[in-house]
Formats: sequence, structure tokens, C-alpha cells
Amino acid sequence: MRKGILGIFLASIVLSNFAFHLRLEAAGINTNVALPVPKGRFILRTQTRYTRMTSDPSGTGRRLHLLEIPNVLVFGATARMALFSILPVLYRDLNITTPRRTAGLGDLAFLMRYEIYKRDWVLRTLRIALFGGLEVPSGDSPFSSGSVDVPLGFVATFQSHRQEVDLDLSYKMNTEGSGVDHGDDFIYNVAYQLRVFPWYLPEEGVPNQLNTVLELNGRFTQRDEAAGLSLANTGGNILFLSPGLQYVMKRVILETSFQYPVAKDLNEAQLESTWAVNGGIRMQF
Amino acid sequence: MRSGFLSVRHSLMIVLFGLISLCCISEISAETGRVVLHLKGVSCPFCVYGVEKRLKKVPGIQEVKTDYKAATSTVSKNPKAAIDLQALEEAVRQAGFTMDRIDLSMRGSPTVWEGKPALKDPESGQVFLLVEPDKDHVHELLDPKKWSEIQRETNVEVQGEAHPHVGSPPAIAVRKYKRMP
Repeated sequence: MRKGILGIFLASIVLSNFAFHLRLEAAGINTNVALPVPKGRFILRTQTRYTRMTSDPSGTGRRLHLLEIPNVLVFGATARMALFSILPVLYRDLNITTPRRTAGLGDLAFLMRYEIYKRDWVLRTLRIALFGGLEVPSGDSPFSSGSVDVPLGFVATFQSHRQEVDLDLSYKMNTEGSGVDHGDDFIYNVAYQLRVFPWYLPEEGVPNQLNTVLELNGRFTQRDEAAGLSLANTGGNILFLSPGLQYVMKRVILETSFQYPVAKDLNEAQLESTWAVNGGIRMQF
Repeated sequence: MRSGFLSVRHSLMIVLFGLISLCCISEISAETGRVVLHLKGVSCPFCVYGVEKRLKKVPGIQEVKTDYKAATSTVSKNPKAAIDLQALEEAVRQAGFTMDRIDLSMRGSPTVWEGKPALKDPESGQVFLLVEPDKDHVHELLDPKKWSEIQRETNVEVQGEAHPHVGSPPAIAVRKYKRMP
């Protein structure tokens, strides 16, 4: 019984409090986008994200260091439809009274994104897409939720040669797993990008470009339940401000961002994120 | 020391002349058709790669060069291959973007196709109807005065917007034409 409660407690720290969520083929670094994937082509994306959680309202000095490596493979099934498979690898260093280090796979995700609106101009585009899919448990991994969950979402992107704005809203229906009925997630992101180099485009060729990125990444989670009872220290809302940089080439994108929580409203005495940093690479082939 | 019919020097000159001739023919062939695709929606370098990869898959296309600021991709083709305008447009569509228009610069000899003014590419044998630039999306056959000027020549270069047709040759809405040597 005690081990079960401790397991729920640890899972809730990891699953309900960190900033990572399903990032598809995001052109915003932590925000999904509606930009197309050419038919028959692949994009591979990997990131390394470090999250530091040392804000402990309970006063017991809990500390968590979380390293996530989400790997995303995207395939352009048609000009409008892209298929995603996401495999996160996680490493956790949790210190309550004694350190506990754990590594393993997170839940696997399989998603489809379908473009429902497109308007193209010269050097500008507006796209709107819906996405949905399944998250499935990754077996005996300590990071597996044990439940089959259903994410559904909406993304909109306006991109010009100079700027980009992305809006990403999604709702994840979390089901019961490992004896816990996990609370649903509502994820809301908005991103703005500005090309700063080159400031003026050359007359010929395709220049590599450097973008500055600023995002607001938020997540609201319902309380978990077990045996019909709401669980304490679960659920709440957190909003990150995420400045970043992106270097965009024809075939490869390099990116990095820093995330700082600017609004936190977590229930009871949950361990809170102090900050997070990530770096990643995207390649198409 | 002389060889049977030709000295070594004469043989070298013949080989050199042949190589130069081949280069000239290649140069002319390379200029037979220049296709410029005007694109919409391509608004980042990462997007350009996907468009170029799909265009390179179109049969007969050898090279694609994109100018991001101009929002154009210029394709060069195998001189002996016909230009498939519909396949080029479809390639851009499958990359997830929109083709605005195709500009063509074609060198050939004036001919007639089913009584209509046309231009024939000597390398590929492809025929293009010659029409006036469109007014309200209606293409009229080339102005008779322009046609009579073009018909006097054996080798002309025609520039204009290309339009695919189903069941008949593609057309060039002629903006410019000039006599070629």
C-alpha cells in the first residue's frame, strides 16, 4: 500500500509537472505547427531537454533533475497528412531523502495531423490543421503511465519569410493505468519567430537563417483519482516563458530554448519546475 | 613520321574540333528550354528542400535551383526530354505548396499544329501552341502579325507563361520573341 502511494506520488511529480508535451514536427521549438511535410518524405527530430525541479513548497528539500530525449519521426503520407511516431527516453534523478536514479522509455505516441485549411501567397502561408492519435504504455518502464491516452489538437501557423506565429491547443484524455485514473491535460502554446539574420534576403539562392523565438507554453492538468477519490498533490496549471534560437538550413534545423515558469498554480505541495533548457536537431530526408 | 592517311597532328586537330563542336551543341541544347516555376507558400529554407526533391523526381528534370527571395525554382531538363507542365505543378502540390505560374523560355522552329501557330523544340520534338497573353483566362491564338514575323525565321526564342492542356500540346502565352542565329 505504501509503495503504491509512493509510486503514484513519484509519477505525479514527473507526469503532471514538467513542461514537455507532445511536440510534433514543431517549427516553434516547444510548440506544434501546421506546416506541411512533403509527400513521401521523412523528418527526424530529436531533442535533449533538462528540467530542474527544486522549488519544493513542502519544505522537505525534494529535488528532481529530469533529462528527456524525445525522438520524433514524421512521414508525409500525403500533401495534407503527416504521420508521427514519438519515442521519449527519460532519465530521472530524484532526491527526497536518498537519491533515486531511474532511466527508461516514456509512453509511445502515434499521431496523425491533417491540414484542413491552406492559403498561400508569395513568401507567406496560412495553415490550419487538426491532429489526434494514441499514447500507449511502454511496458514496464518506470516512466510509463500504464494507460492508453488519446490526444486531440488544433494547430494554426502563419509564416512569412520574416516572421511566424503558431497557435497550438490540445486536449489529452488520460485513462486509468497502474491503479490511477490520471487527470486529463489541456495544453496551450503560442510561439512567435523573427528572422534576424540575414536581415535582408539575398537576390539569389536560399540563405541559411537565424530566428529568434519566443513562446508561451502552458499546461493545465486535472487531478488524478484512485478508487473514486481525488488524489492530493496532483493537477494544476503551469505556464512557461520560453525564449530560444533556431538556425534553419535547407535540410537541417538546429535549435535551443530556455524555459522559465512565469505562472504556477499546482495543487497542494507538488515539486515545481525551476527552469528547463533544451537543444535539438531536425533533419529531413 | 607520317601515319597511313593522317599525321598525328591532323588526328589531334580532328579530335579537338569534334570536342569543341560537342561543347557548342551541348550549350545550344542546354538553352533549348528554361523553365521558371513561380511558387506560393514557400516561406522558409526548410520548405525549399522538400519542393526541390519532388521536382527532381519529375522525369526529364536534371537540376533545380531555387531563389528564395524571388520565390522561384528554375529547372533545367534533359534536352531530349519533353517538359511535362502538369507533372511539375503536381510535384509542387505534393510538396505541400502552390504553383502560381510557369514561365518558359523556349527555342525552336515555327510550325503549325492542326492549323494553329506553334513552336517545335528540335531536340525533344515537343510542340507548343503559341497564344496571346490571357485576358480573363481566355487564350486566343497568337496575333497574325506576330505569327507572320515569327514564321519568317527558322530558329526563334519565345518567352512567356506556359499553360498545360489536356488533349493538345501545351501553350506559351507569348510575351517576347526574338530571332536566333
